[in-house]
Amino acid sequence: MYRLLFIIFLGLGSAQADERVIIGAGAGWVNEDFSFTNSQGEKTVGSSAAIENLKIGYGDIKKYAITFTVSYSEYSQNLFSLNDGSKMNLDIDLIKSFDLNSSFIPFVSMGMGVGHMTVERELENYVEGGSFQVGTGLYYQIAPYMDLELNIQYKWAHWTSLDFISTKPETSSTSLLGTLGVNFRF
Amino acid sequence: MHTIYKLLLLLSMLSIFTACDEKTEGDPLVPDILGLKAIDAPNKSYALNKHLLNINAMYSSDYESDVTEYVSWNVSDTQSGVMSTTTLNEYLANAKSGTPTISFSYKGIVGSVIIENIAIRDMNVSLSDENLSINSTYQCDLNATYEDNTSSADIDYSTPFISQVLWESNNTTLATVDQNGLITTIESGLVKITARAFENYTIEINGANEVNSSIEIIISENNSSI
Repeated sequence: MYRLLFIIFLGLGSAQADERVIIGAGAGWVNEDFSFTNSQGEKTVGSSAAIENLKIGYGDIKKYAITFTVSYSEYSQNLFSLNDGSKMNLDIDLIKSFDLNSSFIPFVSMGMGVGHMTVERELENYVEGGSFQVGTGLYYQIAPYMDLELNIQYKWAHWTSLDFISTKPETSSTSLLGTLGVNFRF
Repeated sequence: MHTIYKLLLLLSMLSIFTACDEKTEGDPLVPDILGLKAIDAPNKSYALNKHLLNINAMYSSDYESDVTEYVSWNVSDTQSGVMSTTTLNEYLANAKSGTPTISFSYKGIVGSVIIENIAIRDMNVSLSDENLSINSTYQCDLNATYEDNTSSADIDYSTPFISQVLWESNNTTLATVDQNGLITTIESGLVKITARAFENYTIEINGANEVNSSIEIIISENNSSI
């Protein structure tokens, strides 16, 4: 039975040529500069966070791919309240890879996403944001079904306005992410 | 397969490493609302006086902003004080003595202030002119004494006290009176001019449902007398 499943699995892989379903996981670091403007002026602060992600996608490692990534991070300092929670992001990225006839396959990417962070403010218990990102990176193909991924992204994010009663100030941020992960292609 | 195990181990170590980052203490980037407070609210008010109450929101980064137009109001004892139905933040000291709590709130953030209200003990209408003739105008005076013996003459009203009451003439064919207590004589005869405060009030003030004072005047062709 297991042998049969293995043969079917291999058969599916070859039938789809190099376009495969991608499942991956990664971890890394993000540095994010937050900028908040209200009647008192603009205030900027930088924060960093560990980031872990899971992704699912579809594509050819040497051509194009589309990925959906869920990432989790918790910042090194409070940004929106005295007890900020974790931040979840859902991103969709389009990836263009460049086949150099090598195990190393560089790529560029662009995409967008939405973020959600739990906060403990007087009038809000979460904040949400939308983002746009570009990135570049490198796959190291270990096997046809597995590769390592080094990814660097630059992200612009705009957060939902906060209720200050008489004003609704907004927060924006720019961030630089670096992640290392592994992808499995089926 | 050894390669896979090594990769999983590498990722696990990386996750553990990144998870070790601890949050630093300190104020957040974005200030939060600490509460609401009334600005320049009086401690004491006298019946029929009005006060504009302004509300500030206090923020964690040591600043405040005016949020008067965004809050909703509630007065705990409406017989002692009410919020105006026409002016957003105008508090009206009502008929009864008491210490109403005036609450202001925005989406669950609540602030309050207590304003002691002093009721009117009695009111008196007077007229300085002794000779009243037809087709003339005469200005009434109105004074009140409050329960703490303060005279209305010693109180700084936001709106003149004399125009806070309802003025009536019992015979408008002989004389009329406007809402500032100005009598206009028309024909000769006897007329009763009355000033009423809290008319048709639902509680009794000194045994009545209002505070009032009257004066009778006699108007003659050439001159008249009180």
